Amino acid sequence: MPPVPPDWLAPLDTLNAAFTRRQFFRRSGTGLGVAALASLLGERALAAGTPAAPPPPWSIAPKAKRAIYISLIGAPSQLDLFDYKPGLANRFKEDLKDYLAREGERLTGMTARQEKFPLAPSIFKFAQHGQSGAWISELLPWTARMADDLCIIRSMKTDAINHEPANQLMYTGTMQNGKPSLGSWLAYGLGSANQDLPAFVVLHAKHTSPFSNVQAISARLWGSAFLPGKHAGVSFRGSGDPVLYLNDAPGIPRELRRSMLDGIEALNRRSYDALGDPEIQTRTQQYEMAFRMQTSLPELADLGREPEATFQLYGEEARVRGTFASSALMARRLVERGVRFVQIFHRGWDQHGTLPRDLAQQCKDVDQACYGLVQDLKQRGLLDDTLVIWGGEFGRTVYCQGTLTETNYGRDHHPRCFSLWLAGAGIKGGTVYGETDDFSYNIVKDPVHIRDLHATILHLMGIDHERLSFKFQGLDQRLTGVLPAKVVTDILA
Amino acid sequence: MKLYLNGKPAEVEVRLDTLGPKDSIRTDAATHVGRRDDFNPMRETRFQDVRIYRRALAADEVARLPFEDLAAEIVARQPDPRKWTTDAKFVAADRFYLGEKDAETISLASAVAAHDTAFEALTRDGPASLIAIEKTTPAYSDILKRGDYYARLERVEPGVPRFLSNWPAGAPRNRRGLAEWLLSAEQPLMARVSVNRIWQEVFGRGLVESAGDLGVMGDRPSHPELLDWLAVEFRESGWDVKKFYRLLVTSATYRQSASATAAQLAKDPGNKLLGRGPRYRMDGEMLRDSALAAAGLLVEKIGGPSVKPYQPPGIWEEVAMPESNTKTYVPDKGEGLYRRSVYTFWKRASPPASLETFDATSREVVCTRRARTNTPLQAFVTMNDPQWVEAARKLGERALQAGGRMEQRLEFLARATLARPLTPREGAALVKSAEAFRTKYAADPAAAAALLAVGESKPDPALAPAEVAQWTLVASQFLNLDEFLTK
Repeated sequence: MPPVPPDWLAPLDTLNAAFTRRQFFRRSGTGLGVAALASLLGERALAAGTPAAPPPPWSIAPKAKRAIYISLIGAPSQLDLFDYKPGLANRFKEDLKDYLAREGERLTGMTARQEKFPLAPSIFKFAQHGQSGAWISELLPWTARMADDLCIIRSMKTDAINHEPANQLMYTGTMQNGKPSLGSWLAYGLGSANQDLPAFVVLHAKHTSPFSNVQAISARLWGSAFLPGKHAGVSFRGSGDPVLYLNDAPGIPRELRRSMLDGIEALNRRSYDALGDPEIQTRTQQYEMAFRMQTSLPELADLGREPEATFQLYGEEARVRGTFASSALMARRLVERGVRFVQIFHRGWDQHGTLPRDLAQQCKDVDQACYGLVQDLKQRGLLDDTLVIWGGEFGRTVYCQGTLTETNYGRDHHPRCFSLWLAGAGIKGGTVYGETDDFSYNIVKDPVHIRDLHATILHLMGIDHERLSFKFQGLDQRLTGVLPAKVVTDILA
Repeated sequence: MKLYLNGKPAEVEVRLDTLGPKDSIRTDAATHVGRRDDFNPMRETRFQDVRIYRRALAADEVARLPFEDLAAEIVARQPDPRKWTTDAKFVAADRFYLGEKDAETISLASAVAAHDTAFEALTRDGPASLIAIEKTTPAYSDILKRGDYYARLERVEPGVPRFLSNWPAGAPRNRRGLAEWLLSAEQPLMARVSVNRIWQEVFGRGLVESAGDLGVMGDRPSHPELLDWLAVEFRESGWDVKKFYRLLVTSATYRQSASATAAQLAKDPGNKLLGRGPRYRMDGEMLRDSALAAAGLLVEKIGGPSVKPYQPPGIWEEVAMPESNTKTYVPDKGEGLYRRSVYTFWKRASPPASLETFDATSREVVCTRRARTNTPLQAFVTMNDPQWVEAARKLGERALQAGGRMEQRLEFLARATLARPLTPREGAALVKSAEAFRTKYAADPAAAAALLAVGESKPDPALAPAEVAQWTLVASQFLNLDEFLTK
C-alpha cells in the first residue's frame, strides 16, 4: 500500500499564508519568551550573553513588584468578620425556607434536607475602625487596627459551592482541573527578580485548633499545569529541610561537598568541550546554585536573628516554625529577597458547626500576624510595591446549619457573596467596596467575580490579563479565560 | 465491664482504669452515649434501643437480647411483616431469622469466609483486573450549553468528528467499532500519533513537537514524509511496538553522535533537523532506576501492589484531610524501597516528591509531553535523597570490590554509570577529589559512620568504613555527572 499523502497539512499552508493576529502573537511569544523563561534559575546564564529582551506583549506599567496571598482554606464567614448586618439581631431563628425557595438557591447536600433554615445573626460585636469607618468584628482586633490600610471587598462572588472546585476557581481561574495557578502565571509572565530563589514560593501554615474542619488541598492550587514546570510554586516546608534534601546527607562535611562539586565540574566541562550542549553548562551552574542555596536558604529560614521587635509585631508564635505567624514573617523575608509571589495556605476555616468557638481560634491564628506583616512591610518601605491579599474561596450562609442556640451555630457554604481584603501596592487603603443585601445573601452593589479579582491582581503586577496567554491544546489559554473579566479600577489608588 | 457484640462476648482492652477497690462509679456528671465530649460526635451513629436493668444479665440472656428478644417484640407489635419498617425488617428478618434460624442462609453465609480466602489468594499480587463489556442500553451523552449540566441541548451518540474519516461501514457504534475505526487504513491519525509519541520518547522531541495536538493548531511536523513513512511502516508491521522501537534505535539518525559544533547549535539549537543524535535529561523514574541498577540494588520483580520508597516525614500531612487513609506516609522496608519507579505509590494530591522535582506530573490530567527542567532542586535530590546516597554507597562498595588500585575502581564506576572508559584527564580530576575524601574520612570515623548509616541496607562488614565512605562520595560524583543524568 502506498504511503498516505500528507494532505491533512494542506490547510496549514493556507493558514500560514494569511498572517493572522493569532500567528502574530504566537511568533512574538516565541521571540519574547526568553524574558518569561528566565524565571527559576536561568537568569544568570541568560544575563551573561543575551542582550536585554524587549518586554513581553502583556507587559504594562506595574504598581506591585511582588505579592503575598494569604489563602484561608475552608471559607471564613463574611457574616462574622466583615459584612456587618445589624438588622439581623432581631430576626434570630426566623425560618428562611421560603426566601431560599424564591431565590432558587442550590443548597449543598449538607443542609438541603434541613426542615428549617433558621436565621443565625452573628453573635460577635462589630465596631467601626479607622478613618474609613469600616465595620470589623471583634474576632479581628489587630486587623481592625489597620483598617485604613485595607480595601475590604464585601461583594466577592464565585460560581462554585464546594471547596475543591471553588479553590481551583480561586487559585487557577477555572473549576476544572489542569490549569496553571495564579502564582505560576505570574512567574511565567514576570520572570524572577532574584537569582537564588524561585519566583513563586508556597508556605503551609499549621492551624492550632484541634476541632476545626479541615479540607484537603493539593499541588493543583500552586502547580504550573501546562506552563513550563519551573513556574510551579515551590513548597517551603514548615518542618525538616525548608526545601527537600537541602541539607547534605549525614557525614558529608561542607568541604567535601565542595571537592565533590569540583570533580563533577571538571568532568562536565570535558563533556561540554566534546559535545557543545549548553544544557551541560546550565547543569553545572545549577549545582553551583544548589551549593549557594545550602547557605542562603538556612539563613533565610532562620528566624532566630530577627530582633525582639519583630516578634512583638507578629506575635510570639512567630518563633515556632510552621505557625501562621512564622509563615507571615517568612513571607516578608522571601519578598524582601525578591520572590515574586508568596502564597500562605492556612486550613481549617470550614465552620459548619460550633462556629463561634472554631472561627475565633482560626482568627486568633492569623489576626496579629496579618497586622504584623502589613505593618512590617510598611515600615520597611515595601508595602508601596507589595500587594497583600487575604481571603477564602466562598462565603457562608446566613442560615444555621445544625442546631441554632443563642450562643452556638454553624454556617454552610455560600457562593453568592463573600468578603476579602487587599492592601499595599496600588490599592486604595481605607476602602470598603461592594454591598450585600440584608441577609448577606445577594450582592446589591459592585459585584466582583473571581475573574475580576484575577484581572486586578495581574493589572497591579504589570500584566494585561487579556494578553497574558500560553498556547496549549490549540488555544491561547489565559488565567481569566474567555468569560468577561474586568479590572476593578474603583479600588485602585 | 463486659462487652457483647451481637450477643457474643467481645474482647475488652482496658485503656484507662483509675477506680480503686473502694471507689464508686456513682457521679453527678451526665453520661454521654457514643461520644466522649461535644467535640467529636459520632455523626453517623444511631441508637436502636437503650435499656437499663436492675440486675446483671446472664450470658444466654444477653445472647437473646440483640435480635431474638427484639424480633419477638416486633412480631408482637405488628404480626404482618409487610408492614414492618426497614429497621424492623433488618432486625427480625435479616439478623434474627436469616442470621440465626434459617439453615440454608447460615450455611451459605458460613461459606463466604472460604470464598474470601480464595479470592484473597488470587488477588494477592495485585487487584483483579476489570474487563469491559458493552451495555445492552447504548451509551449517550448530552451536549451541555457552556458546560452547564442544567442546560442540556442535544443528545449525542458514539461517533467520530465529521472532519475525520468515516465510521467503518457496518461497524457497531461502540468500542469495538471505535477500535475498527482507529485501525482502519483510511484513518492515518492513530498510526501517526503513535509513531510520533514513540519518536518523542526515543529522540526527546516528536517529529510533531506538540505531541498532544496533531491538528491545525498544533506544530507542523519537522519531517512530514518521514512521519508518514513511519506511520505506514508501523501499521503494516501489524502495529508491532517492539519492532518499531528497534527500527528507531538502530537507525543511523539515532546512532549519530550528539556532539554539536557552534555553527550547528546556532542554526538548529533544538536539533529539529536531526543533524546530531538525541541528548536530553532522563525522566525522574529512569534516573532513579538507573541509579539503583548501577548500585546493584534494583529489585527487578514484575507486578504486584504499589510500593513506598524513602520520603521524608510530613509531606502528606501538609495537604491531607485528617481522616484521609493516605494522611501519613510510611516508607516500606526491604524490597519495596528498591523496586522500579513504575511501582511507586502515587498519591495524586502529593506525588512522590523526588520524582516531582524531575517534572513528574500529579497524574490527574493526561500528559502527552512532560516538561524537562534543569533546576538546583534536582541536584539536592541526586546528592542528598537517601535513595541516592544509599545507591552511591552500594555503588562505592562495588567499586571497592572491583580492584585494589584507584584506577581499577574509577574504571569500574565509569563503566557502571557511563558505559565507557575514563580519559586520563578525567581520571586525574577524580583522583584529586577522591584524595580529599580519603584524608577526611581517615581522620573522622564518626563522619564515615554517619554516612554509612544512610539507607536501610547494611554496609558490607568486610570493607573498611573510611574507604566505603570515601568511595560513596566518588560514586555519588558519577551519579551526579551530566553524562549520567542525560541520555
